[in-house]
Amino acid sequence: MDTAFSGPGSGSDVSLIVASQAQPEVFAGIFDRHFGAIHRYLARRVGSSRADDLASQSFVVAFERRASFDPSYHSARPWLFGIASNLMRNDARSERRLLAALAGIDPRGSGELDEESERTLARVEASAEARRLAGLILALDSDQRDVLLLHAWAELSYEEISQALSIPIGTVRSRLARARSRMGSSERSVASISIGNPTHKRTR
Amino acid sequence: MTTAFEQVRRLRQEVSAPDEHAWVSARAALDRAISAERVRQIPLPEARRARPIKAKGARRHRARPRSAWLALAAVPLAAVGIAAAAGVLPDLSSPDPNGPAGTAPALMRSSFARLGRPQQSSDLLPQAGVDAMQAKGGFGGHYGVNPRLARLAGTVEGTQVWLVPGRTGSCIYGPGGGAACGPNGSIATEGLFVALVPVGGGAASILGVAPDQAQVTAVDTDGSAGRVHRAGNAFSITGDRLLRSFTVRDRSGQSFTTSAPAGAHPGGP
Repeated sequence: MDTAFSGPGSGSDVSLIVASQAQPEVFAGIFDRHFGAIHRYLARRVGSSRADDLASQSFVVAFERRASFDPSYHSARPWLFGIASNLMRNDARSERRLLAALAGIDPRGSGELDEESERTLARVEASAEARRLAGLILALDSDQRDVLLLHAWAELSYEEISQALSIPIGTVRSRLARARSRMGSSERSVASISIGNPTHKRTR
Repeated sequence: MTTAFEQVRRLRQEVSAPDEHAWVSARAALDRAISAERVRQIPLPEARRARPIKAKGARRHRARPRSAWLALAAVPLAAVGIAAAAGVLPDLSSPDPNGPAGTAPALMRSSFARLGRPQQSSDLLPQAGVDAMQAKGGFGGHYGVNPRLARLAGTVEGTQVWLVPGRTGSCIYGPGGGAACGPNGSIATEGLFVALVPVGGGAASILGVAPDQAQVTAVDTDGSAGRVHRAGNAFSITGDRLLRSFTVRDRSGQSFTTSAPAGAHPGGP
């Protein structure tokens, strides 16, 4: 083969993806490198149980669409986080539910949180600060939340977020600035943030 | 604001790494997608190309010539058989280790909104369809398809077409026991279809599903537009002897064109 690929786990992301056009099984190297990071990011946002499904789908979709990967990128990370983010948008309710539970808004009696999310919730139960932050994140627009969390939780650079979400880097900066501004200036209490069903509001 | 930002960053520490089950399950899903693509990459020898077959119990449709489910669905199956015999491929008949999907995957729900709405009585898959999805060693099991999640994609020209989602792949089912399956990644953008070829010769019919907001167009050999019938997510192209190809254009503008299958020769098997 006329590629830089020399075996599983070796070569750049670009060379693996290029090589996988002719040798599909080579794409498994991309999975081995990035699955953990993608799963952790998704788990933070939608809970571990949903992350299992979404992370799996992310790599299947990435494989199916690998011909669209821009080889000028040095890493597949932004591309993969972009796919994961798009899939997650279709599952926004899971994220809202988790954030709302963290914020103390959503009644845990709903029984819809998975075990890992319950454990997460238990760890931060006593942290009023964590509840406040979850409420603030929940209150952000989804576009702002994507940019903020790709930066803060996935540790993508502005340029990588631009690649991941297919938006200009200036838009990344402005969304991040707005998110930071809203979080910094917000005076709202967690209990005042509605997630769509006022009867679920709860003040702690 | 840095303070709040750093606090958000610290909040991420509250989630643990994926467990082994998540790794294994996701890797298996990817392996199945890879295997499915390798099947598509293997060219079929001319002499062994799938040929029209008369399906037992195939329903006769009004004036339409007797048709048999065939082929573009059967081509991958034939390829699997050939490749497996040659020892080239892993066994695609292996069932999904996690069993049937509990819910339609988000990817499929995003492309087929009807998969996310409550099931109605018309969505119930006929027992023959349930049997087809659950056939031992079939693609339905391989993709983790769940007949209980089926939705009626639409009724085109009097023919009902169901979409049956699974963990890593989904199937369509039509009358007469015909079905076709494929990986969710491609179905969510390209849709899925089967071709019906009249046993006595004549124009092939295409029956399939296309994602929400996707356009389906057809082109005849003389360059004119072919007629495409649409109902919900279902589509059909029938009675077009000049059909050269048809194209599914998804909502992002991506196009996927498929050449029309050759018509059957009269007196075929």
